Amino acid sequence: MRTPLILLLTTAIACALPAVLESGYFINVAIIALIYVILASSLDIMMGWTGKFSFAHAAFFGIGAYTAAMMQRSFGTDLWAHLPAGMAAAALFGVLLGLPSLRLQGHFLAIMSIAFQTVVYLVLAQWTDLTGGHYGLPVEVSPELGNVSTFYFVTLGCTLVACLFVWFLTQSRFGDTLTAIRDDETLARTIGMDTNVIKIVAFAISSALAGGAGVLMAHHIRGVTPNDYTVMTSATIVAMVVLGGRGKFWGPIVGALILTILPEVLSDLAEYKHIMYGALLIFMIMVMPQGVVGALTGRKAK
Amino acid sequence: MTPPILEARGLSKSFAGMVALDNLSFSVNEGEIAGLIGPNGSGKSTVVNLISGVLVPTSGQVVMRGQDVTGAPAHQMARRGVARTFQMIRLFGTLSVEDNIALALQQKEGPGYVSSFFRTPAARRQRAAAGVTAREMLKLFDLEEKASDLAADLSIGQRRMVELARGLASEPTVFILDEPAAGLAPHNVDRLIEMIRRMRDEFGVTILLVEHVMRVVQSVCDRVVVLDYGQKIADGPPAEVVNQPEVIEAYIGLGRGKNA
Ligand SMILES: Nc1ncnc2c1ncn2[C@@H]1O[C@H](COP(=O)(O)OP(=O)(O)OP(=O)(O)O)[C@@H](O)[C@H]1O
Ligand SMILES: [Mg+2]
Repeated sequence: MRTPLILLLTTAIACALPAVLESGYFINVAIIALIYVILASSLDIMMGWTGKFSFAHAAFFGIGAYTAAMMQRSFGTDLWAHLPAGMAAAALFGVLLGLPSLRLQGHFLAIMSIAFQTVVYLVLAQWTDLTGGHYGLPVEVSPELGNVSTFYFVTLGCTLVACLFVWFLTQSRFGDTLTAIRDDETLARTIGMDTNVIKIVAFAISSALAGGAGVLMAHHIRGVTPNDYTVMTSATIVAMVVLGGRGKFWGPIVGALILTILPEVLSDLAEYKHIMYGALLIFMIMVMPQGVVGALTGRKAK
Repeated sequence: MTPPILEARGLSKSFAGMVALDNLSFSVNEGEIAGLIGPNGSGKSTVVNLISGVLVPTSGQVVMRGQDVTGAPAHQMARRGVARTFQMIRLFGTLSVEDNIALALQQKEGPGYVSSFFRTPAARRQRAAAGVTAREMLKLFDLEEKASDLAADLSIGQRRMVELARGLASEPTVFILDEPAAGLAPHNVDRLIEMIRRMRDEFGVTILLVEHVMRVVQSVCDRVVVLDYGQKIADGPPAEVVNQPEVIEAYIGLGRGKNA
């Protein structure tokens, strides 16, 4: 139970950020960083714990964001209605990708996820009547959330809940089952685990959290455009998990913070950020496959 | 008469047209240590995979206590009381030895994922109890001081014993061992023989033993089924079977060495 306490402490410190950062610009960066913390932590349920690489996380991120925008267009609802709806929609599509992926392993699963990501992107970009095409859709933020500091606190709260959820999930029997699937799926089945159901549920949970992050993103940037949810975005989230460390609670969190804050600090190089991510990904896989957090904590049994 | 605990009825399996197993029938009675032997590639592991639900037969049936369970997936076979080990040892490498066993014995009680997520007192008690049982099991196999080591860090002999402990911990009705003596040093083979006997005598587990090492088969099996090219060529007490001409032919006549 030490980890949740450290997380609460970190969150308490993060509450002071808007007071310290005078410029709204940096608070905006912090909000994006938090959204990516949710994305990377939720992707790690699949990548680190279950051992299934997915390059479709941005698709679920986008499905959450577009659910918010389309719901608002039709019903005029606000963030609190969009969050559960966006998560449910993303979970549903998670199951949709999960079902045909059950029998696929390794590279094939990764290729399938890229195909899925591409299809989702094409639908968002091309089905203009539904999604607004390349221009996307606007999202109006309710007045009480209009202030950037307020929105920061809302995002911080959501991130805390998401991270705590991931921690409790991965430390529970469900997490043990995911680890078993990652280590040896045949053995997991042979000792009595219904691995197909578990994988689908893991996919759904992971996607739902990404959908929630998408709803926050839509409200934060007050709109949705398909180019925010491409395979590049997916690859960025993968890079965050690999950089921070797969299957380690702090790994994806640290990875997400580094890769969102670094480009802001080195803003002259921002144009080249995808090249840098690519190089970083290759470097990490070759030199430090266990990630920054993995390298710092070392390998040990529970 | 009670039906046999396990029956293969006309089991066949082809891989892309290659017949690995051809119309095999045999049965295992409750409380028996039955052997399954045969030269390399004769189809022994295929039998194990078909019975444990890892593979689905091309034709034929797997029957447990008179009930047809053909094609049931592996996790269901496990819940029906079929445990197994693997010719190439399989353990969860990133988990501790204790967790490897605790995980296997927790599968009987149903998932309990929600209570485990919320860390209810009942879930914690259950988890602690699984740990205690796992350590008792390890003690039986002389591995208690390895309980918190990573499974991947043990020697082959120790890993074999962890596989046995894992299977026994799940309280199986039938325990299928696929070449448990492979790669073991002679003194470990003696230990293996002792443990196979104890699993049957003290824990009442019915055992189907696939083995190459004849010393093991001859000292523990009540009965052996001999396979050659996917077909049954003999079935009877070990002392009789090894003297049958077909068996001698299969093992020696073709120049495929018999491991003693
Ligand atoms: N999954 C598979 N795909 C294709 N062929 C297979 C498969 N499993 C087994 N075979 C083939 O089926 C035949 C029987 O193999 P099996 O592993 O059952 O033999 P075995 O008696 O266990 O041999 P060994 O003593 O070497 O363990 C072999 O020719 C093998 O190559
Ligand atoms: Mg074999």
